[in-house]
Amino acid sequence: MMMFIAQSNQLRIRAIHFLLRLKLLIALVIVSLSIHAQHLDIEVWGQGNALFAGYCRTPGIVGCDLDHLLDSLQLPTGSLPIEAATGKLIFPADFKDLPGGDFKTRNPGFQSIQNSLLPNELISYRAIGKLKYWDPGLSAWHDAPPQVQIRLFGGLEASRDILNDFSNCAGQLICFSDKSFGIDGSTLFTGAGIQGRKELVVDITNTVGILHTHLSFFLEDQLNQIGGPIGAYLIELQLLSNARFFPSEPFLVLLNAGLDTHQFATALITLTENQTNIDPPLEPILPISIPGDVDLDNDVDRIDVALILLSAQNNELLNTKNRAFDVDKDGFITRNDAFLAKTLCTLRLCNIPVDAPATALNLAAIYDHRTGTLTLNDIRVGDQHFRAQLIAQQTQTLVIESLILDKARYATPAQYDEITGVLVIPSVLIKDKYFKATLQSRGNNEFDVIHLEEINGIFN
Amino acid sequence: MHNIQHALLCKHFLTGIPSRLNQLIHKILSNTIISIMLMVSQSQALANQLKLPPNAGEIDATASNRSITSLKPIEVIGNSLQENPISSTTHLKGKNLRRQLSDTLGHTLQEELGVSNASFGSGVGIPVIRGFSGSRVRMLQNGIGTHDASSLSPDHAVAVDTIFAEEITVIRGPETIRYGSSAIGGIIDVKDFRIPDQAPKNRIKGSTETRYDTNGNGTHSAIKLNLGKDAFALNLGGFFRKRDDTQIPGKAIDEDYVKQQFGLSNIQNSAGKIPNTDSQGSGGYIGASWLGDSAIAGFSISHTDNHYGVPGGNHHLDPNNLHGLETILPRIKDLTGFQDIFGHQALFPHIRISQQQTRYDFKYEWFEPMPRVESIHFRYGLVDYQHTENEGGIPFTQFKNKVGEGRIELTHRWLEKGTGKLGTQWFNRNFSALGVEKFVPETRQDSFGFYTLQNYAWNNWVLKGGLRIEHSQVNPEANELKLRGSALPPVPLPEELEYRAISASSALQWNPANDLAIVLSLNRAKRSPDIQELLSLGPHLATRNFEIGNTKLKNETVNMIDFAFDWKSSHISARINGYYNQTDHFIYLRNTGLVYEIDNEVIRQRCVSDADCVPIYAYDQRHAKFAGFESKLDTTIYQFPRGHKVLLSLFSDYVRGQFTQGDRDDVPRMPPLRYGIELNLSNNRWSSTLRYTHAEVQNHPGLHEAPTRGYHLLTLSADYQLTVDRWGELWFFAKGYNLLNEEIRNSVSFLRSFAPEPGRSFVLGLRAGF
Repeated sequence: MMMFIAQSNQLRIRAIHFLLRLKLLIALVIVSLSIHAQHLDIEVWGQGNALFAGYCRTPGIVGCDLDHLLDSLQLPTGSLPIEAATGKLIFPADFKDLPGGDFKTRNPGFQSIQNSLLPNELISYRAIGKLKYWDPGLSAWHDAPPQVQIRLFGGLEASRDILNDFSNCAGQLICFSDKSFGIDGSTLFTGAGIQGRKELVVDITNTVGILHTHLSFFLEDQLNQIGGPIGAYLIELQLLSNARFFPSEPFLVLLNAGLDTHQFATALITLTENQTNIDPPLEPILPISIPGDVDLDNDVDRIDVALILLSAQNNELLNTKNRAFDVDKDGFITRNDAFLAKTLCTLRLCNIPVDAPATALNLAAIYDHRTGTLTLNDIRVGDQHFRAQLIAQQTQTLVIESLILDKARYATPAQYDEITGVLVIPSVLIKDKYFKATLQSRGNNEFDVIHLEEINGIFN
Repeated sequence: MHNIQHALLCKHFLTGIPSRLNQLIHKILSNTIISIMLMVSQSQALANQLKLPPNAGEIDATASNRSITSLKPIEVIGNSLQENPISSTTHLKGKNLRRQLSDTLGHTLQEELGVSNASFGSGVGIPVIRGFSGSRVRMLQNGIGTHDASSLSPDHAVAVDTIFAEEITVIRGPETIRYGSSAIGGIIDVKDFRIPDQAPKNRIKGSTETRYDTNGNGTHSAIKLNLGKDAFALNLGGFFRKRDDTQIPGKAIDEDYVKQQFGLSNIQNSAGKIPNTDSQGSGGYIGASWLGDSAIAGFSISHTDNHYGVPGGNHHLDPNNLHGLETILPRIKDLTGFQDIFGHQALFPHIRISQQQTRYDFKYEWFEPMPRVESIHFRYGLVDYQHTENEGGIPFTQFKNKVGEGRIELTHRWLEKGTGKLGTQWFNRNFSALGVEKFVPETRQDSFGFYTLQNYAWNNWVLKGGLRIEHSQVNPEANELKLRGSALPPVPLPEELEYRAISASSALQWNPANDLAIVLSLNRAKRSPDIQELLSLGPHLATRNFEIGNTKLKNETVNMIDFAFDWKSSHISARINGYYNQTDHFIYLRNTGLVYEIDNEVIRQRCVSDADCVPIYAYDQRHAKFAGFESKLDTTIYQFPRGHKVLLSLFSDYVRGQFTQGDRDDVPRMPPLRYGIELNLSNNRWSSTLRYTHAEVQNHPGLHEAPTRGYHLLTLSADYQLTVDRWGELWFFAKGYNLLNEEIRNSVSFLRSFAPEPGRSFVLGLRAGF
């Protein structure tokens, strides 16, 4: 009995500790939330030969919540952060956000959702115009004074600044060109115009066209010392692609350096007031991703689960923009969708402490040894994707039971070569082990297993 | 049949030797082993025929009582021919070893002169010799390398459990002649004699030891048994070790350092203990030997499991950076059912390391095989090492190291006043790091060396000389290396890298009096670059670096002069070592001035938040110099009539490392000046020691490194030995460590600003021998 009381006391103490930690965490996070709130990421997408930049609208994502931003800045109803005189989009950010400090920030970031850009598409920025300064004393915009400047460091990877041939790098596996260092490797926005590198790399997309990166903005004086007068600063950029001829329309980045919300909103409204006949900003077409991927970054992670939970709590109704939130396809966004997304979550630190059970939904290929069924959730044949089930007939031979046309669902689908008749399955789960399999078609919907090799599935 | 099996076994082990040498070595070894077997079997038959006890080399007390043979006293005249200059070598054994024993090798040896402990939380303690560690200090277990991953990263523990140790040999300075180029800074050899070299007199003997540490509620227990009769002996051993988080006097993270370095004032910190520093280990071994009249053949198999946590470092230092979750979670009111992915442990997961090592060791020793040849030794160790790094319970990187290392050594006395050794030593290594933190590719490394060590004594002079020729090659298994998450195209890798290294050593020892030795040593030792120095590419979170390997690194060359003075009289002994080391092409990490943002996995020129970025370093070479000393004075200040005596010791050590090219900055992570005093009161049954050490401020921490404060370390130990008739003996011991409960941040530790050394602790223990 004493032991039971002691154990229950211990449990109680642990529970109290857990709640205290959670409260502390939430308190910390709330502080950060208010500071994070005032920024909007730049959504990038391509269409034909043109590149586009717009407000990030991916539901619930940090830096993509335009409505919340408008609320927090208390902008007039119906107005958008668009410069009235030119129609250029404005992306607010704050030098005092927590990741940076008083005079440096990583915001706004640059994002693209899957398939909105080409695989390995190189996106760069081009700096335009002059640095503008909002003087809170005068409540007016003018060219920034000579003693202040904004330095922007671009990305280095996939640029000519990094060499990856050790024979050209004195033996080093990678090395950096001399241009990488000093003022030549950054862009300087001043009241007199642009200095340093006018164009630098933002980032390169991954194999499904996704990009999410943040660059580094520093407010500094002429001696490159961090700091500058309180106020708001305005710079102008446009984006370029190595795969498209037309760059994006120029846009503005509005950076807050120490103004309170009201003052900052005033600086913004001065730019946006008297909006007439401004077209609504363009938006990319939201693709359909794998089940559970609501932020459209081609995986199911904890952010997806948290976003679904938040939507369920707020009783959000299903619409065309948030249809991915309804993971169980019952027509409603509920906590059950979040639970289901949790089981689909495949990324590290998502599904602890127990590994998600392997299901037909979260694996591209799985073999059920009891029924002899091989389920292939994604087979790529040329430009098309299929879903199939094969049944084992005898040792080493499988027969197609069903085959339906589908869309691309997985990063590493099975590949079928129509000419050679070879079907390569990069990873198939068989009795809790992962194998790489190669099948050879022998006609009549029959396939022979010609190679089976165990692989380390954990790290794939 | 037995001989053929052994020959086949050896052939299998030698498959990794370069092919042109393979045949030759195999032939020599096969012939040697078969000769050993034939000779042994012949001598065994002869012994049986003459009805002599098979283990004639051992003096049996019972037998000697029955025997009427009396031995004449033997008077030894002349100089002892020690293999190493006396004052650069320490043999720690017996009670002195047991008093210093701790959970890790580094902590065990940290009181030795010239040796420091590079801790990484209490689960890791890597010895640092004269400021050198990692790929420059060889860790050996019974003469064969431990072949763990400790040379690769300071958060990887040495795969040796100290409680089995019967003797630990520390050699300061280059010892490349016998042990290869990675012994350029010295060696540490932990001998536990798991392959028995003698059978017990009464068929069984053994010992058991258990100790308890109040700091972290640590327990460490082991049992060893030595069984056998006549020509056969069997050793068995097992240990278990467990401890909770390390207790410390103040806060774990030095907040001033973090504010200055990362600009963060709101961090996750803890007081009173270092979270995630608990550890647990277990293991055991079995060893068997055949003990012939003039030869011994034996083997052992051992396995060790070690699980420990790595203190946080800058990982998750900033609670406000949760990759976007920090803005969503506060708005969710009910997280029931999702604590597993949104709870504290899930948001700030611990890094744990699970380490396993299985060793197979073989030994043949053939004594006096021919005139003027004292012995021929063969040793081979096959080490299968792996450790998995887990974050929040999920494995993210797995390191594997499979190594076979062998040695054949002949000890001769070809001249009346000269002795020496001729030997060959080789190893074949398959290394891989698979997973998220894959910053070194799968690589094969082969090394082969011939060496000789010769000593010549003339009157009161001894001249020693050594030479080693070593060839090694490094073969990456992959053609290219892809930086994870990077837009950078795959980086091509070289097919093969070859190195030849010739090392030489010499020492002149003069004994102007029987109790005085003066030694002058000159060493020119070369070290071939290690795998990570050549081929690493990627973020290395343990050291908070992004490392870039360099395939054109040359051999690193140590040119060392070491002067030693050693005086031992009846009441006083003194030893002083002074050394100067000019290292050419010292391999170090050069700061490129760029940074790598961990979360976004991109290379940047500058980073907005320093806590999110790590500096990018490239392996490079620069000349450097090291100078230092070790000194100790022991004196009996009072001798009581009943055998009690009071001993006083004064000691000090220091090393300074500085680059001699470029901006002549300091070599980072050097130990500070240490000095102290020790008072010992003892007799033949009990002993008590009070030791005070003061370490000065380390004002030469190296570029971009933080200086460390000085500290006072007070320890008190006492032990008592009780002999129980017929059963054996009991030994009780107690030790109080860091009695002043000082906050000690060790300048040689990578994690010094995040995990200080343990606070006050008391160790109580009992050892029983039977």
